Amino acid sequence: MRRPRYCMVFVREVTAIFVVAYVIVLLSLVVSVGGDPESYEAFRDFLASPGMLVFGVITLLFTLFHSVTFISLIPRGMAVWRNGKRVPASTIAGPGFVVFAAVVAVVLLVLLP
Amino acid sequence: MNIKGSHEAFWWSLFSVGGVVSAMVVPVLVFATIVGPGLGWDVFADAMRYDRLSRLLGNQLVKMGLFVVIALSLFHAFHRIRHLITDLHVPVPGMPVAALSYLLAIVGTVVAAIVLWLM
Amino acid sequence: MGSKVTFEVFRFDSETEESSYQDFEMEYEDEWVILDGLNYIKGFIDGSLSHRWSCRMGVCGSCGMIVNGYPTLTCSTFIRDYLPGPIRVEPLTNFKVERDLIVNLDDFLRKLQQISPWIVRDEERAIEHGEYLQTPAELATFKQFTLCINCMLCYSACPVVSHELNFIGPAVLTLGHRYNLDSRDQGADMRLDEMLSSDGIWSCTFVGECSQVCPKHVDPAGAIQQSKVSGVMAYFKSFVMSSGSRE
Repeated sequence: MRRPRYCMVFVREVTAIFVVAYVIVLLSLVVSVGGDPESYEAFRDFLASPGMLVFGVITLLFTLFHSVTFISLIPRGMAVWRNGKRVPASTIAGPGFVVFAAVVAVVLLVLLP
Repeated sequence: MNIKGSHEAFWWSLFSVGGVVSAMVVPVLVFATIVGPGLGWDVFADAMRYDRLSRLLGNQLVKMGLFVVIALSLFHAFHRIRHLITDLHVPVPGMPVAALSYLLAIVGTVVAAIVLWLM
Repeated sequence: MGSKVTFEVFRFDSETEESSYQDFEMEYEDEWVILDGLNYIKGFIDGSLSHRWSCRMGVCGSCGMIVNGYPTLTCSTFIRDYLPGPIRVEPLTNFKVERDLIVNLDDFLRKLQQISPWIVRDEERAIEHGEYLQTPAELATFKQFTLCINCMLCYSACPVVSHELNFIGPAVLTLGHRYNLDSRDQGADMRLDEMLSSDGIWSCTFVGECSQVCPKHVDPAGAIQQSKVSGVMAYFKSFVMSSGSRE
């Protein structure tokens, strides 16, 4: 009965490994952009390879799991009181997800042509 | 006030701020740089063109933003990895695991700074 | 009467250090809780069975046990919810077993004292000055955390307690947080010394299982996260204070 929750926490902790793995990819990308166009194209081909696509999809799922669990747990650590009543968790997590959506929009706006 | 023993509060504050930042930013970056182009979506492939990226990375604001995201994500992630190692009952003492974890986060941060500004 | 159920009860004899599971079959009534079953066994089948209980109404916190693998308050859990059985009853995990279903509380009581779970004043006010007043809003900030009955289910559920024996643990850290939030209390600095120590809140990885098993919905996991936030504030404040005093 207790196993599923332990398992969820374990997955939550494992998301960290994917965050680190992606940071390494991201830094490699920055390095290759700093080099000449040919070496960058080679790196781009590597990024587009099926193996990296699988890695990307798995990393995306794990990091999204991190996003959802982290943002929804924020209210538990914050006791906000208004008129003698604790502000409900959804009032704190809700705007968290709105900010999440806004950040995604801003990043895409900057990145996409 | 005498806070016994440790600077855990400091590392935890980096963990939680990093947790928020990585939650907000990392998935969209993963999608835009790997999954989108990998699936052959033209917008993303176009966004990853050499001239566009090198112009983007020439912008100090973008560099600063990337640096903050990378550094905080690393401190977040290595704090979790530290606890993951404990939770897996790996038979090593806690102190070295914590020290090594945060050391790796610091090294990663320094590498990020070098990559962004010196290369 | 009529329906039968079987309890698989953990037995342990500290003198011979032998442990086993013993099956007891009994007729039960629909409104019986697990604790009623245990009391029936002790009263009518085997008087040597040892278990702790007192109020049988979810207030004293003595009858916490592991029922079918889950930390449970046995006076608040019906047999009918576990049918057809058998129902396995074991002592709380993460504690040393004294005998059968009874665990040793010494460690827990030591941790409880360590946190000073009472109102601490720099200077006690004289009785003729009356009680310390508090508004309903001030009470509301910590009331939830006063509902703890020390049943220790959260210690049994906590994976951190299982591998760090000195971890102060969910219930006691929550109680510390409860007094730190109390407007009548002035002992937060002293209490935080314990709570922020290496055996304190930082060991918690927010698994949240403590809040899941809590029969009183105290939410120890939330209390510990809130303490961490206070701990971070106190940590950075201590730098501001010490750099201020140096000037």
